[in-house]
Amino acid sequence: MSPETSNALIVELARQLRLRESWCGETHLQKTAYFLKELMKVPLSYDFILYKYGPYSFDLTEQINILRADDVFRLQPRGNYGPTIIEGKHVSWLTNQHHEIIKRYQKEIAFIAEQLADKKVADLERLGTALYVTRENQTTIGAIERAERLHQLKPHISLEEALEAVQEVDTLIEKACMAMQ
Amino acid sequence: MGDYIKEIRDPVHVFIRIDETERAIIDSRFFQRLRNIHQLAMTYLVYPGATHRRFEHSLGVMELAGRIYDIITNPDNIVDESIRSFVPRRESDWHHGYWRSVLRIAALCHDLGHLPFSHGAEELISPGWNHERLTVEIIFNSEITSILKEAGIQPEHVAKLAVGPQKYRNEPFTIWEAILAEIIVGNAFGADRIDYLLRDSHHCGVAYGRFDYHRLLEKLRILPARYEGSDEPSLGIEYGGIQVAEALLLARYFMFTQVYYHRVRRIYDLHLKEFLRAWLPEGKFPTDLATHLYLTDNEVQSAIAEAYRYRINEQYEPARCIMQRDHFRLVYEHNPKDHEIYPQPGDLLYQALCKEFDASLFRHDVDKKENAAPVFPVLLRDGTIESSINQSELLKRIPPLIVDNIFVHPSHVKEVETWLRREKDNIIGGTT
Repeated sequence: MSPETSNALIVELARQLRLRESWCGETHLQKTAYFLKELMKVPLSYDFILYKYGPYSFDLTEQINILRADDVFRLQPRGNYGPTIIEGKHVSWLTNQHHEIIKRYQKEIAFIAEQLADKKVADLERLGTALYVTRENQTTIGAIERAERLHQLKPHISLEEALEAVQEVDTLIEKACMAMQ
Repeated sequence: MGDYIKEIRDPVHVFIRIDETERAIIDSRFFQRLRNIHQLAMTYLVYPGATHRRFEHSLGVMELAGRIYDIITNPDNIVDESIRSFVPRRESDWHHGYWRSVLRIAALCHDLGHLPFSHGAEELISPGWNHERLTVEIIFNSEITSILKEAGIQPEHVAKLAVGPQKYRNEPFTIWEAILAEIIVGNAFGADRIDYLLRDSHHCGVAYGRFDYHRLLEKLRILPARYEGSDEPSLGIEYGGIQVAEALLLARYFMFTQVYYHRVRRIYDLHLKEFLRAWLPEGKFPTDLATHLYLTDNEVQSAIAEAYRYRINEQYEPARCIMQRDHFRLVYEHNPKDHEIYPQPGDLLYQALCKEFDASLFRHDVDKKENAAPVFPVLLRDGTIESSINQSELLKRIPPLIVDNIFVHPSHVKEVETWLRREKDNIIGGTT
């Protein structure tokens, strides 16, 4: 999938998140995009690594800069938190060009928005990293081992929180399988 | 490790002190090669003073990285308990000295993989490669590897910090490694960025890149991003430092608009790429270290002169543009008014021009990837940590950095300008 097509899906993801009253800052978009790619298998062009607050894509950051330059996205400072990403003047210029692909992945995007829109950055960091350690081990390993790995990678997340996150991700994986059947 | 044995004069930092291991790396062939790589490609054709090289920049980044390390690991500057657990103690912990050496050496090595003319023609490297990957290769597979091992330093640690998590994909970074990498390559306060702004400004003879970096360094802290609801730390700034952080980001904005994105500098990059495509084997930079070692700006400049003198096939025309300084001329650049109507006006105009005239007469140059104002944590007087964007009216308003240039062959400037004056508004307005 080309970066421009991926960007159109990200614009739709941001819209769906905001519809469900997500704060929708860059970190929210980064983590939900990771779930969209890894959990729902939407072939976004962005490459993710484990970095700031869990899985992170420098490609996506770069594309958000481009979307801001094209006035598809704008940053809106709000409250005491980081800025919210809102639609810019030229948002329909991009979405109109890619409405077919947006339609094709509508179900996947809606699922992710439904499941994650109400999560805060700290929740998304835990869940995103839990999915990362689950995907890291192609062979199935137990929840406790994955929680230990999560805690090792992100020591500020306690073992208890890590275990909860791994269990929540397992539930999310099951839900995703059912939703896509 | 540790005892300084030599000092080097520097126009930006006055003295740069080096120890035995650092001196051995500086004396290595791969580091000496950087004496022949211009920091700003062919910017010297616009700003004659811009003849400085990656060599002195790398020394400067090492000096700054060491100073930042000393400030942020000073126990008096660790303001949040969550940070104390992973920062090595100054006197009692051997790790403190080890990581200081690793950091300084990584800063010294961070540009070893740069291709001739730095970023000027970097895209002409084989797919899957970039200068950071070459840097990692050099750290792992050259005389520098032996120097590091002899000094008891793991090459892997140096490689990780030198290129950062974006480019080092072998394994995830620990929180501590991520902070150290941020000291070198960080978007907001990286030593690389601080040095290049000061140094480029000095050599170009422009004031845009200057700011009170001594004050900035003093105010840097490791801070958890609590405003995001996470305890994950990153480099931020203590209250009282926000103004100098604004000055840094404004300096960067102005250096981009006035120097790095200068129209003539940009077209010389395009002519250089055209030449290299014709000159390099299969149009690509080699990635084996033996060839990399001996391929510098000197070899490319000689080849340009030769292609011009002997009119060598397809190498001739781009060589001529450079040698005679007869570059393509700007006929359109980013215009906020046009951008208000359509997000990519340069694309529309370029396509229309190629239809109306011969496409080979035009070059379209686009770049929108740079973030003018990265967000970072700010520690307030009452101990709370906030996002920079909520603490600075100025940072909210720094516009995106946009390049959207169209250049034309010098023979067609007047004709194309007349055509654009007549047609531009119809073409861009026709999209609404």
